Amino acid sequence: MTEQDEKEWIKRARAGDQIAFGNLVSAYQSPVYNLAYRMLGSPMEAEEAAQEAFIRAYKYLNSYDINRPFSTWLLSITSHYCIDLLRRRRLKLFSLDDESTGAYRISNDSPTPETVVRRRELSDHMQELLVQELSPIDRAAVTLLYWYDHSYEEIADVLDLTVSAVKSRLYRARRTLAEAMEGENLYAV
Amino acid sequence: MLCEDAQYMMSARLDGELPEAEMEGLDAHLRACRTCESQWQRFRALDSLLREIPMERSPNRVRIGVMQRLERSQKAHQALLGGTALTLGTLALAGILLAPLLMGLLEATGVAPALFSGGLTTIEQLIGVGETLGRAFFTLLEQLVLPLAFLSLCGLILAVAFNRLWVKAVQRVS
Repeated sequence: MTEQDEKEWIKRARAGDQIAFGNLVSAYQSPVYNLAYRMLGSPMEAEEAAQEAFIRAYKYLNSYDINRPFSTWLLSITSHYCIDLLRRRRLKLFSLDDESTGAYRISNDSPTPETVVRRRELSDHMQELLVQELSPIDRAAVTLLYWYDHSYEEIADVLDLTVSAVKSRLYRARRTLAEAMEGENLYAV
Repeated sequence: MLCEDAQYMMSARLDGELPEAEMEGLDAHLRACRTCESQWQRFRALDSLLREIPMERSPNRVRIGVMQRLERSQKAHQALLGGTALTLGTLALAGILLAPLLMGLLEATGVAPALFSGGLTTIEQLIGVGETLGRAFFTLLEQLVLPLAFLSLCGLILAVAFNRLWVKAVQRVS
């Protein structure tokens, strides 16, 4: 998808062309779904949240400022929707008591099947820590930093925060996660 | 440098957001403070772990679900427009056909001449007119049940036809 394609699809979608909007959904469903998944921690919920974010984007497409990156606007809708959802539900945190607390080691060797499985386990475990330990806004900031390579300015733009607030939230999130990992004995690097 | 400040700077450093001028100060603190050095190693390990986590594959159901919801929403919108057209059509038709009948009844009961000649000057006269109109309305209802039902049916058919045409027109445009 080129920038020109994107602009054309947005223009057509604004005029009610659902096929054009479908093209935008295809192009952005992966980042939107991933953000929702990191925020909510459940594939099912992430799927529903991603759909809802796109529906909202379609509804408010006329208020989108064409000079702003579409991805930033879309991720902003997604993160705010997830934050509101989590606040409303007061998401029940789940316990890790039954989970394995064995230490994980990151290997740079070519991945063997065992490594792939362990990385998957590590990924799931980190995802649980994100959901369990961080506030929704901190979680969104961490997600945008690590999975979207967003700069502090871009994160601030998506989450309607100041750059200074983003910096503080990332620091706080790191400290919280570092402490949680210490408790889980995840440092074996 | 306070340990709290140093750890705040470590976080910015991991993201490449720590100004060059502050690097040296932080390094000096890390050399001198074992607690912060240990925290720095933890932060770096955490950073590596987080960067290892891959993006999830998004299910294609997201797109399918969005398109289905948009389609349903469009149909609901069309149904709302159709429903509005149906109501307005029925009301308009009934109004057009009933107006002459109502006027005839007002003429026959003597209310219309009084109304239009400006002969109503007192409250009693106005109340009297209200009563007459009320009676006339119920008489009309009694006598016109069948014609009203017929007219409503005509309005209904017209409105449904209008609704179909409208939906087709919208589908053609989209």
